[in-house]
Amino acid sequence: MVQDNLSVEYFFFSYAFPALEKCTDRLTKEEISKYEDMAVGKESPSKEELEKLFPKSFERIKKYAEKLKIKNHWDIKVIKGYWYEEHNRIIDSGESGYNKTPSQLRKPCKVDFAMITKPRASFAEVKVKKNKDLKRAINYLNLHLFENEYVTIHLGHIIEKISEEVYKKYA
Amino acid sequence: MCLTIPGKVIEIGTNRFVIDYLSTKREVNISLVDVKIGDYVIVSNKIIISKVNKDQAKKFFELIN
Repeated sequence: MVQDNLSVEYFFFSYAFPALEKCTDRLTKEEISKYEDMAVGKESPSKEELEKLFPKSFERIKKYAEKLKIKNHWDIKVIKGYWYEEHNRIIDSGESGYNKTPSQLRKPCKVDFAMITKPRASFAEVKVKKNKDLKRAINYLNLHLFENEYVTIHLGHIIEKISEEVYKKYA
Repeated sequence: MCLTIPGKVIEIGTNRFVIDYLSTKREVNISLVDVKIGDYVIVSNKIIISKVNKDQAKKFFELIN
């Protein structure tokens, strides 16, 4: 669930930051490291900076906002819906070139909804509901994780804790 | 596009993995999966997050070449 004190920018950024290295042709190692530190520190670049860092994502987010008939694409309903539903839908549908990408390369791009089975210091073993996969995910954002809690995972990173209700709805 | 690119494990040391990533050597320190030299893997944020079978990796390289 989104903690009340975390901004919509941070909500977007927490899901997007594991993909920062894909921007290495545009970013220096130092810049990437700076952004990673921000993610761990629960800070986020500004909306304008995020839109420059992840232009393709925001093209899709703006279209998604139109589909939801919400004028401001930075509305939390849009950003949350994008990561919980729309992002996986795009990957599954093969849009945006995903139809050409081999399935094993598409899989880590999807947001997984999982239950913690064994929390560890820097990672956790999780069970992904959809395919009952047991796997490890990195706890890069240093969340306090406990067995049987529900989380989302993107690119092998545990992103946030979610409620059982959210887990059951989207998993 | 959230694109993952496979790399090949070419060296393994103590808490150290060297990956051939599009002909560039990259070093990572954490792997979430058991790997051996020659495996194709996906790296995110300097962490090996999963393995990819050889066929899927080759299919990807055919696409981008």
